[in-house]
Amino acid sequence: MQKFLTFGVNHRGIAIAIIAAITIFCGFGLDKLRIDTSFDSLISDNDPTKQVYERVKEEFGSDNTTIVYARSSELWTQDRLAALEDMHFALEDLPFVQRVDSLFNVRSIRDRDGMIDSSTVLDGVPFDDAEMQTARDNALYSPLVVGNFISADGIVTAINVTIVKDPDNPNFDHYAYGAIDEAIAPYADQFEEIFQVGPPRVNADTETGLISDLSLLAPLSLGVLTVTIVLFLRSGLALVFPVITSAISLVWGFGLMGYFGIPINILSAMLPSLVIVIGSTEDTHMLSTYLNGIHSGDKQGTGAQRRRYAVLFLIRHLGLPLVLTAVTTTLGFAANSFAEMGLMRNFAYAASIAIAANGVITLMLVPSLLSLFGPLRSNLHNKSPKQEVSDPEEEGYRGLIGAILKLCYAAARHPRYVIGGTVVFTVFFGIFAFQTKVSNDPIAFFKPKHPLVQDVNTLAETLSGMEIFYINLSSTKPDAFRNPENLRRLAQIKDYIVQDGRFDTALSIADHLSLVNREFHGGDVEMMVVPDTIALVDQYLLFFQRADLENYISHDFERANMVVRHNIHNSHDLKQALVDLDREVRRIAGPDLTVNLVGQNLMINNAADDLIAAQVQSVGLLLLVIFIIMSIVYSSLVGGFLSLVPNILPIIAVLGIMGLFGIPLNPGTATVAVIAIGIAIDDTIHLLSSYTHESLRTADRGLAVRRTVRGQAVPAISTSIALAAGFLVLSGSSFSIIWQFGALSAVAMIVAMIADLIVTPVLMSMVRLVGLYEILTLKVGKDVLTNSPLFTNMTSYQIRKAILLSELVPFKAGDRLLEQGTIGRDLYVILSGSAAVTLDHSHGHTELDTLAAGAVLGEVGFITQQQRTANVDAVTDGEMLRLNADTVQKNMRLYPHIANKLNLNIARILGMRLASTSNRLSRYEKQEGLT
Amino acid sequence: MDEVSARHDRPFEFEEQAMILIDDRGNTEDREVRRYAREWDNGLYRYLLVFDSPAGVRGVALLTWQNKGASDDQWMHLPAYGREMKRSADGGKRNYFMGTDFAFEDMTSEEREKFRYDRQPDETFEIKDETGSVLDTVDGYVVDAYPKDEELASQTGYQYRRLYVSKDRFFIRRIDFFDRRGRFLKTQYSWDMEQIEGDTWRANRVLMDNDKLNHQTLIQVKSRDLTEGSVPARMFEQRWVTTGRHLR
Repeated sequence: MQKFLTFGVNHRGIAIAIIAAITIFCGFGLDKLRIDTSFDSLISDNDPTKQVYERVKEEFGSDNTTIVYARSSELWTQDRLAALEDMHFALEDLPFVQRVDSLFNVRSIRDRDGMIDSSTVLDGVPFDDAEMQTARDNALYSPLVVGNFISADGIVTAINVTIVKDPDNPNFDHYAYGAIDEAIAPYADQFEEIFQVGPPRVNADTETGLISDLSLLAPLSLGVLTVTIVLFLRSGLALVFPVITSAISLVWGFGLMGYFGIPINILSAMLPSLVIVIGSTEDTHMLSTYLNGIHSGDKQGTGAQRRRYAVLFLIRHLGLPLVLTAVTTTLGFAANSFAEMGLMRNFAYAASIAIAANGVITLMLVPSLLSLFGPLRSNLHNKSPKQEVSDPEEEGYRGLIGAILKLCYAAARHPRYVIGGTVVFTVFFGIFAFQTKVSNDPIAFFKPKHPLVQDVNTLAETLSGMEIFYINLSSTKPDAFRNPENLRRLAQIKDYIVQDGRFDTALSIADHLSLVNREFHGGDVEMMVVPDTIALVDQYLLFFQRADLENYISHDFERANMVVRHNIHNSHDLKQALVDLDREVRRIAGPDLTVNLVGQNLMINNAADDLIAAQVQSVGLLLLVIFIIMSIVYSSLVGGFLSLVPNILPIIAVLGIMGLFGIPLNPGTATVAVIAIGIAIDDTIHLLSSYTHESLRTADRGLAVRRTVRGQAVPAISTSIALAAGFLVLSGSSFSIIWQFGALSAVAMIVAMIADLIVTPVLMSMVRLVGLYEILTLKVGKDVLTNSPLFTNMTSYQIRKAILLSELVPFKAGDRLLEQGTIGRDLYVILSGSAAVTLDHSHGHTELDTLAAGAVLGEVGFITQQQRTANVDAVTDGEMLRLNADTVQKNMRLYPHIANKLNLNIARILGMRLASTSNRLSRYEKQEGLT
Repeated sequence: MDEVSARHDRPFEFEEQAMILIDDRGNTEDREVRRYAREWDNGLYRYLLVFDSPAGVRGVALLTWQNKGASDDQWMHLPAYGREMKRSADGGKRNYFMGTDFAFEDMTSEEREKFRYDRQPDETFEIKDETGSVLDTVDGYVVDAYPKDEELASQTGYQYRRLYVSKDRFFIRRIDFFDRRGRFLKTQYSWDMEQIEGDTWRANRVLMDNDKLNHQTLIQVKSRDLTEGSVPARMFEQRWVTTGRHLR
């Protein structure tokens, strides 16, 4: 890994050439990039109703209906109606249009003084006033027409355009929207208000919003980035690196998306912002550490030497955490790649590619660039130079950061309050978290003030909602729906829908037959019922063309289809209404009829449930992966757990806030949790990594914590604020799901920051957490440890566990490490340097032994609490590992094997010591002539 | 057009027909109907149509009286509804007839003085069956028929019809219908020609192929009687139907 990290410095030319080559290659991929705003991407691949939907759509026609809304207070004049008729025909001429329904072809059946009048509502434009009046009366008379094609006040009319989507044209919706708009444009000035709503418009507006997001959000994010970086790092040059890395990352990301055929969607439109914001946090950490390197390095060297030193300093201090954070952030975005919804899956692919690219580019390019052009002066350190301060509490950061630090220190002194507060916080937000509702609705993606949403609501208020679904009933009996019994069931279902009131309209063949029945009985509303006999059903059916009924009944009358329209754009409410409807329909239909509620609209809403599954799955997966990685890094499950706490808190906060303020879990907000973890874990990793460094330097955990917090506060606060600000930029989006995502992510960043600076330190101070083994092996080499008699015959895992219980103690030449006659229960292993063992006695003192790296001392006191039998003095500077007997005993209960081996080795050491002592004794006796 | 009328119009006509409705997926609905036509005063006709099958519509009857200078009178009898005949409101000329692709106006005789006939260049035209296969190519005269009577123009569903008249028998073998805006709507083909007597011919199969609705109606004539006895005048009164004498 070090090789990879130093590659950018040691082989600058190659590194830059590789990056340039990949960038050029990816640049060509940009051409292949396409936009996908289709509804299909909002539907789960495994939706169980998909097949039935396709079959029903094939039989009863597409539910892909665009409604052209036209309002004129002078609607019933020849000019307006002529315009309307022209529009009807112009729409009919569009190649993708399956059928057009309007006042000009919808059937009107009406009693006129005992005579039956069966015709279309408008059979051409009426010639005179009397005919005009009749036509208006006819339109407002039929319950099949009012609310569908004419408003109750007679001034709004609708043309329903049923569309068959061309699956081979990826730009179909945009094209269809444009074509419909073009078809109605010549007549638009005849009406006070005219617009189309339907899937093509929704998709086209989504695409427009997406493009405006792309062009608006990226510059805004850059602005925020500039302000925060200049503010916190006080270096103009520092801004250049994030901009370069972000730009290259985006070329890679979008280029690879082009090659892999991953389209841009409304979520990935925020990718530039995300890459700029998230990518820059790494850059900030790197620059800040680089500047520390410049500061602490030799001021006399040449610029190149000083830069090289600072870059290597940066890699040494940040190498592991940088790789870890790049991996976890990428995983955060990738966690949704298993989502069943194409929208989220494609975003997961796109974002993880871009973020991974950003990681690779940052790690390769920034060291290269810094070693070439890095600043040689740090404005961060222009105050009195930071020296080793005994306790950071005495060192003054002023202003906001000083205040935050004071708060952190105060919190660290009151761990109970912190833990208590955390529990209260968790419970409070946790309760609200469970009230969070799901939503997946393309209209709800837009902000409420968006013209599309307004138009959709206008349509729903004057006519009926835009959303359509089918209640499909099928029987195995021939001609089942000629049978009045089954037709009455349809009527009962409609009665329920009308009474329930949540859906706007419902139409079936029963309505058509009831209407004829009513008109055959002089228009008596009491007779708006299904005919009594099969024969009458058959005879009434003669009034209809097949085209009048093809949406409602199969040719063999075995399957009936009820068309329901509504304006519910909240998945939770819709789901509830559908559950109730489904239950009622099944109850009414009885056991002989098969019931299916189908529609694209329903499948999109069904996918809302997948959001929960995706959420649980991706958050769970990510937490597990982080837990495993961090447990391995710190050789401790506690370490793994510790890493999770500050990342779970923001998720609870986010879900709680969503429940509290009624923000739904939608494709945008469902990605917040994983992304928040992916980003927030960065600070945790830096924090823990710094804490392990500090722990090596002092046995006082409180001090180590304070030093850690002091060291990490500035980058943590600055990156969190920069990220939060960057996310808040997303509130400029055209879509509510994006601004909700932005706002919640900003909250998550701030909560994560607080958790990292207040809760994590308290937890850290309670447990011993050191990734010591890695650092030791890095420092002294593995051999010293494996060759030490203390660790003879132990596996590296066992050695690691034992070492985790120890502490690193540095010593200087002349230090007394053990004092004869004192009592101590510590055992030491010398890691570097050497020490001499001497024995004080009445005649002076005798030098017994010289100890080198790997040697063990203090083993007697470790076993039995008794006076030290000799002095040990450091001969050179060095370091040793300290194991405390009580700590080892307490902690080794769970690891009897390791304890056993450790004890055996100590016994062996003691045995050897005894042997050498007896040896020495016998020599001494021989010398004295005692034998 | 006068020649067409002179050769083929007959005052009395009874036919037993199979009427097959074919939807865009090839699903069919078969009906059996009897059609009676009798010339009344002034060259105007009266028609009676009776459904024999399917069982559900057996006995349904439609009585039509052409009127001079006024819209037709029409009564409908639905046996399942009751014994009475329900009068249809006027203005229904251009409505499709009982779920078929024929409009009411397609099924009644044409008052020639109300139309303007524009001769078009002669053409060899195709006759197609319900599957779209070409059965025959016929050498013919082509005439566009426009309504010239203002009232008729306000009632008809067509801006004009293009009539294809076979040169050999002066029989209208094909009609292309153009809607009130002049756009192609549907085509009627006639084939399976049978010589009745002298120059008089009849087609035993008539297909109305509705392009706009993607729907077809095929009429197969199973038997035919052009004698006066087959269509007695009393048949064309409401009482004939309300007393159930139209039933077989």
